[in-house]
Order: sequence, then C-alpha cells, then structure tokens
Amino acid sequence: MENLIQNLKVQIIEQLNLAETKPEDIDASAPLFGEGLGLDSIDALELIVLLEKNYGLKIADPKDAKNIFQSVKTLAEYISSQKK
Amino acid sequence: MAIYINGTGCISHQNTIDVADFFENAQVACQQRLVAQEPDYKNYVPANMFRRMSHVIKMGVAAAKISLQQAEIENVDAIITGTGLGCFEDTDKFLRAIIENDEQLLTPTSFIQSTHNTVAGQIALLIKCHNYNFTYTQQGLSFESALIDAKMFLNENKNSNILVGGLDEAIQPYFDLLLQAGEIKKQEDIIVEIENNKTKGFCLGEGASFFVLSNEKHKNTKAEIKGIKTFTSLKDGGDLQNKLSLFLQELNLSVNDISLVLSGNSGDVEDDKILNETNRNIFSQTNIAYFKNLCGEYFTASAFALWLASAIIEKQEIPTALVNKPTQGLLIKNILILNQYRNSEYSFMCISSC
Repeated sequence: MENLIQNLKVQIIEQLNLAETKPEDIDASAPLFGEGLGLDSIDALELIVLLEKNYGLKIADPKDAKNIFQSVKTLAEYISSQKK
Repeated sequence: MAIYINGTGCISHQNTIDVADFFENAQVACQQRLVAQEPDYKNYVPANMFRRMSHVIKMGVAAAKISLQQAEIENVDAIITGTGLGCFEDTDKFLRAIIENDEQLLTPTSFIQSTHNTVAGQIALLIKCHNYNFTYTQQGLSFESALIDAKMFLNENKNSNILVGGLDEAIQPYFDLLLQAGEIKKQEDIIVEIENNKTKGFCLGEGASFFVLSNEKHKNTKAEIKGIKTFTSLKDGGDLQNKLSLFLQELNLSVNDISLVLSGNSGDVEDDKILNETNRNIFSQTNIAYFKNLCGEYFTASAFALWLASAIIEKQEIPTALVNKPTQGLLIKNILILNQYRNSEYSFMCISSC
C-alpha cells in the first residue's frame, strides 16, 4: 500500500502539473479537493483519466467518486480493492 | 479620432521586459528558431492558474499584465487578441493524445486550453473582466484585424480602455514541420543584414505584445496610432506603392514626414521582393530599419513592430542594432510599419509622437 501511495503521489504531480509540489509535501490522508491540495473540477476529470489510463479502472457509479477521490489514501484503497 | 497607446508589454526573443536593456543590448539573431526570453512568470500569474498554462498563454498573460501596469489600470472595457496559431502546443498535445490513445482517455486540460481564444479568456479570468472579448485569427493579419476592431470599438465607445494583443508560439513540432517543408532558412544562409538576403526561407519567431489603447491621453501615453490598412491581394510592387501613397495622403502625411520605416522583411528573397522595391522607390531618403531579425517571422510579428515603434517614439532613440548609421538628434515624429506575411498579406501602420 505504501508503494502504491508513493506512486500515486508522483503520478498526480505529473498529471496535474503540480511543479512546485514534491511527493513528500502531499499528506496521503489530507483532502484532495477544496482544502489540502486544493484541486478543482478540471483536476477531477484529469484524475479519472489517470485512474483509467494507469490502472485500467473506471468508476461505474459517479456517486462513489466523492469517496474514492477523498484523499490519496482512499484512492489507493480503491485501486487495491479492485485488484483483488 | 485619436487612438493613444497608454501601456505596452512585450515578451520576445529580445529582452523586451527591460526596455532600457533592450535599447542597449538588442542583437540581430542568426538562428533558425528564435524562442522568447521568458521572465519569471510568477511575478505576473497566480500559482493556481500558472500550472495549467502553456507557453503562449504565459507569454500573453504576462505581456497583458505589464501593459496594464504601465497604463496604471486594473481592468478594461474590451480584450481583443490576434493570433495565427492560437494555443498550438495544447492543440498538438490533444491531437497526439487522440491518436496515441485511440480516441480514448483524453485529458480535459489540453482540450480546454487548445482554442485560439484561450489567452483572451485567461486574461479576462485573471483581471475579472466580463466585457467584450474577441479573438481574431486571420493568418498574417490577425493582429491588424484585432487592432482594426479596437479602433471601431473606440469610435463607438468613447473614454474606453482596450487591451489589444498579438501572440504566437514557435513550438518544436511546428518548427519541425516547416523545416521539413523547406520553409525555414538553412543555417548557413542566415545573414545579419536581413534585407540583403539572396536565399529562400525565413527564421521562425514567437512572442506576445499587448497594448492598452484609449482615445484619452494619459500621463504615460507613449504614442498615437494614426492609421492602419491591410491588403490580401496585391497585383505587384506598383500596386503596393499606390496604396501606400493613398494611405499617407489620407493621413495628411508626405514621405518626408516619415522619420523611420520599420520594414517587415522576413529574409526570404522571394517574399521580400515587393517590400524591397517599395523601400527603394519611395523611401530612398528615409531611415529604414528591419525588425524580423530581432523577433523572427511569425503570424503576429507586426505586434512586435508596433511595440518597437512605440518604444522608439517614447525614447526618441533607435536601438543601434537596427540602424547602420548614427541617428542621434533625429526627431522621430512618425514611424511607418510596412509588414508582409509570405508575400500574401500586407499591412501599413503609422505611429506618431503626441
């Protein structure tokens, strides 16, 4: 799980062009949207593409997205749960 | 009605952010691709907007911010831009992603930022301007079209401030395509005196130049735009010379009133024929300077020329890189910009001191 979280941080920084942010600056439990990284709706679309492109995962029910994209940790948990 | 230039901002291959340095150290460039000298964009763009901006958006937003600072205003009544290629880097990214990902998994940012009017939109977002916002894309007359619209807007809306700009980027894939097509001058054929070229091809440039225009004079007013004309179909050099004579007549000016001609020679022996003939026949006794060996050839290079003309009039000085004879003591009253793009689009702009 730790490796997955680390990889996700690197991928998020690259995909969202967060040039000033380092992986260690991202708190895995902090909110991705609003507070924490302060991402917005365009970033949400970028993350959906990242999830599908890098992990082959599609979020079937949009209602689940809010919980899945809560933080890097919840995103990693979702990816792990889908791999099982 | 008079149109005054109350603020200017320019990002180009030269150090046009620091005007004093530009006048001292501007240098004719002899490269096939002239990329812009970029400032620290964080001085002009908030971090949350910065990360999504491509090269041309950053250039445009920074040049617009500088011109607003110079005019000492925070908002405008209209934003009008001209661009030949728009946000080409993001267009290229988006199209490549379509091919590479088999039309699946397309990221939204490149799509959103790939339109020609993205820069005008980003400036509007930045300064919270909900007014008239328009972008012209008329190849080599894109900037001139924006300027003509600004002139009409000022005629209809007195006491307005308008932000007008021209911008284009010389991204690597575009340069590679032009190189393959044989449009770019061979490195060994590039010479300092752009007007004396005997070979085909041009050097690709890029940049963004913005202007705050108003029909009200301001304490920082730099110059006045006296007139502008564009042409898309010319019969020959004689036709251009006739049109130029009429243009000067309309402005109540004679050839002797022109202190300096800024000639838009691109360095291509074929494309420059008509301009060289016009300069020889009409301006044999006038100071002529060439600007595309400073900024390169691109769709909106005439916006760089307008920035240069405005700076020359304000400083009453011609950068030494532009002229091969002393011009100290020369009163610079009227500057005529003669531009051509690929010998198919021509424009005249006359800028005067005020």
